[in-house]
Amino acid sequence: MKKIVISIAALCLLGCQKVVTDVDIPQTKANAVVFCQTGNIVKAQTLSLTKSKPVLNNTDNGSYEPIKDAIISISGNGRSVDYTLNPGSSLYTPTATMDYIAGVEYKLLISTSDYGNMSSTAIMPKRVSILDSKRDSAERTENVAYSIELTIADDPAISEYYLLEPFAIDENGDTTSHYGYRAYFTDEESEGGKITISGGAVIYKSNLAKSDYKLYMVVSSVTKEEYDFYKVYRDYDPENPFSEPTSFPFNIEGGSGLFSLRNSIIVPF
Amino acid sequence: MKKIIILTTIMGYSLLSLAQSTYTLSGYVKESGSKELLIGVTIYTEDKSGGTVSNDFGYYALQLPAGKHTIYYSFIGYEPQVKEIEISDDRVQNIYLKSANSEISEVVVRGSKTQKKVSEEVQMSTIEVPIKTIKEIPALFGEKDVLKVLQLLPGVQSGSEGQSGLYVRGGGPDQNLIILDGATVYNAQHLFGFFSLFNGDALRSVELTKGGFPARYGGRLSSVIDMNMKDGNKEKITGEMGVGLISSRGLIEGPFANGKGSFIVSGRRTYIDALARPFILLYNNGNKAGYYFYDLNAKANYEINNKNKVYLSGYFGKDKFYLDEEYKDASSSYATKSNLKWGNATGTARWNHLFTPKLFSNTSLIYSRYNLDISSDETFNFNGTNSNYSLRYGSGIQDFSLKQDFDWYANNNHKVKFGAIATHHTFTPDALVLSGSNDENVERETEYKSVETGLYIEDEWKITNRLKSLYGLRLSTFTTNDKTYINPEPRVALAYSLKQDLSLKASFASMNQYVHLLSTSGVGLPTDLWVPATDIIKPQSSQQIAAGLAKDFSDKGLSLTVEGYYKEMNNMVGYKEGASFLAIQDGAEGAESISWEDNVTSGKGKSYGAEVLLQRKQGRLTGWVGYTLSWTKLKFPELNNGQEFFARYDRRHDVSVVAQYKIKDNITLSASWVYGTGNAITLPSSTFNISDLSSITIPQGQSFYNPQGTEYTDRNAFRMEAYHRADIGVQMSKQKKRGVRTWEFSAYNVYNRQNPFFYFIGPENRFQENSKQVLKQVSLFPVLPSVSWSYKFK
Repeated sequence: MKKIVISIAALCLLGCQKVVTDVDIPQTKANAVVFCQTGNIVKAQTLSLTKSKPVLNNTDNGSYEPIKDAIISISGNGRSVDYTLNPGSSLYTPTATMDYIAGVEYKLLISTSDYGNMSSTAIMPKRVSILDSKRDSAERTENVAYSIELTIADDPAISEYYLLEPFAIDENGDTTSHYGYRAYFTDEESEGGKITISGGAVIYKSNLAKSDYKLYMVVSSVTKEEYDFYKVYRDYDPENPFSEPTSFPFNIEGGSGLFSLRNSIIVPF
Repeated sequence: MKKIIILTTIMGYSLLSLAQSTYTLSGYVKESGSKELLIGVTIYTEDKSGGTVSNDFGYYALQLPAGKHTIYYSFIGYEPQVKEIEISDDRVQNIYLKSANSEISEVVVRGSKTQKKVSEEVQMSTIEVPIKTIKEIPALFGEKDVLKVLQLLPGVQSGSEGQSGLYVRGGGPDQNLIILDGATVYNAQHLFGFFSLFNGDALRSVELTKGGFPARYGGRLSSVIDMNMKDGNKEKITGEMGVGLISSRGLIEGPFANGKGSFIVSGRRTYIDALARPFILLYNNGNKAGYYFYDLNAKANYEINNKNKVYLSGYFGKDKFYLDEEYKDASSSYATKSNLKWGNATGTARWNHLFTPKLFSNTSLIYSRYNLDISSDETFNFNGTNSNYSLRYGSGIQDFSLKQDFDWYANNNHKVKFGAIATHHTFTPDALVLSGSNDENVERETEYKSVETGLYIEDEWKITNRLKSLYGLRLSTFTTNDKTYINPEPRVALAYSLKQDLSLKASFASMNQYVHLLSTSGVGLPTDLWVPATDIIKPQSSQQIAAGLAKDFSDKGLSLTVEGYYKEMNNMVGYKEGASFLAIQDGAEGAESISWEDNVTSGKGKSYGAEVLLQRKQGRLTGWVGYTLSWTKLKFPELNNGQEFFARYDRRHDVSVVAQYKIKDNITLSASWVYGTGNAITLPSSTFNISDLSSITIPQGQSFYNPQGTEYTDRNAFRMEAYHRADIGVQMSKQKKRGVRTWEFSAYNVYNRQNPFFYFIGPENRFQENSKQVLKQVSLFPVLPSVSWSYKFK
């Protein structure tokens, strides 16, 4: 279906085109964009700080210039950790490990010379408590599909948000040769203090023939801000010429982006 | 509620005052020769103490005291008739009006005091468009189009270049009730909106109502487009055929059962696919692709006796877009067959019965269906291993209705219409079957069954010689999923004659709409989904007030109307940010299913403005000049951060000039010019990097991973370039042995204006790597000459 619709749009593009010059086009300035989804898994404790790029009169090469002179810290529970730029990855990494404690509010502070000061806060969600888990698999022509179902404890008094991220590691430690479905959940349909959520992964038989795999699931509690961002991100489809414009729900004061905290556990299957 | 009680009380008192000391003059008004029934013919006495208009079935009734009366019958495009009638009892008087355009021996009807006057009509915001006008106005590829002619009227706007969707007084295309012989037509568009279903061949009348809605109409907020098909020639078999650039058409009509009945069948089919096939095969490596559409109208009627008449009519039409591809090499092969089909079908069975000359009844059984079907079958073979994938997607709506209408000609001061309608809707927003050797099979069908009813009464009341009123009440209900909505809808229109040929008018109408169209940003795609009001998605409602002046310049054949309006709309439905029908579908294909109810959001709208229409219906030069000044604003809590924003189709200025000039009896020149403020759109302002959302190393093929986001300007804060275009045409007819042959030459967009169809961001030089991004405009139609030939048999 998508192909048909996009083909129709492409046909329209074959119509007469011209560069618009006869109307006033609004000018846009670049701003600072922060992404920091951090938590208790070390891999995730990085921070990205880049400049946005005005759409018009710029190239669309997918690269964004990092802001390199920022002074960044995350503080909470009487501790503060500074972030410094890793020149190799152009990401900011913490100078020390922060132990995030559930229920505590953490504050992100960023100071830059060109874009001023930015800040955001997030409360560390409480850790997921798994009550039950099930794993199943279905063999198809070219792959094996694994599905995992988890029953977790849910506090009916508060709204909670979850993230499931399956991954597989082969004998050589490679985590990139499989297809995993990452999914977010809310507890809106929770009953009796528990909720059942499910995820899955697909591994191609050609890969299975070469190596043995171990399947894991990262189960995280996430903030509402991250869940809301994900909901918009899920529907965001810049290649669909007919989709409505999207406003991303940012939570950075003085800039754009997302600061969120995850309380994660890794469950082997 | 207070308004309703007052309205009901007025209605009760005014009807109680009916006098009985008169006789009824009644009958049918028909076209001389074909005996085709004529709708909207003005009938009045010489002293104008009594007057009426023929109804949708050509029937009229007047109350007259005993004695001799001079009765005038007049209708645009027909020679007026004056009858001296002696009344001593109830009397039946059928009238045959002669067309002012019989064959090509044109009789030009000059300005006449007998013609229907806008200043004398109580109803405002209503425009009748003669079929003859529709067939003379130049059109895209020469394809005559009723809806595109309606777009030329003030208060009615088109969406984007070439589209036939109508935006009436700030309402969306879904807020128009399009009725063909009583049946609702849900998707009136061919070829993704570039043509409408109606080319006028089989139509007898077209009437557009934009406000001050009579109580007999309901179910939509913004307009009613009421079309009636011809009955067919009752005297002889006759026909018409035409050949154009992209389609051919034919029509045949004639009598049966010794003239007691008649029939009409008309059809049209495009042949773009047949003409383009050799080129597509040649340039597309033997792969097939094509598109066509067709329409078929049919109607028959039979007069059982003087009091009973039955009608059967239907419309069937379909669009089909197909694409067959094959690819083969030494180790692999690939084949796909894709179809996109959509179409409407309507059917109406009607029974007219005269209980008494004063009480006319029409009973209708109505069927209407719109459906969209998408299918795609793919087969892939790689090194002897086969895999396949199949998709079947459908959406649609199907209605069965039973309708009972009464016209009660109580006396010359009261003409009452009352009745009821019950409709059973079956909505199928999406039905999906996915199967493939490498995917999980998906089978899903969402279906809603709903019942909509309407009970109405309206009275056209001549309060004094200067003051008239059309007031009424409609009670509408809608039941779906155990949820029932009940809404009273009061309607009032008043006309006060300031002096001869000049009247002051005002109206109020409350409307409810229980069906929603989930439509993608102003593009007339067949994929737009019809969905019902549910307990989550509430019915749309509106209140509209309008006031204005109507002036006739009878000696010049001119009429002028000036109207102002203010309309509030509640519970309007739109896609949420980022959503589209593709999101609904992809949800089905992915791990998570997205319900349409989760994909939409509700809000409010308001529209206000002024409209001017100067029209000339008689003489060698006919046509109109229309101007609209309007504002349309929307406010949705979940869109644009809850701030008010202009609707995409908000148009500050809209101008149309339409002229037809009869140079000779057999040559007509026609031209039109339109101007509209540019559409309001949302532009992307900047893009930004979205850093890794994963807690771990990103696995391959993360289905929603995209590292780039987009920020936009405020919603619809940017204006596209203004739209303007001129079309010209000439029709030349010649009397031949067996009929009349007509050649038409026309040019669309005669000064080759590059009007914006849509804007997009793209590289300034697409062949240069890393070229800077600029705002580009796509225009569709340059100057397009066309020629068509038609032959009308005697």
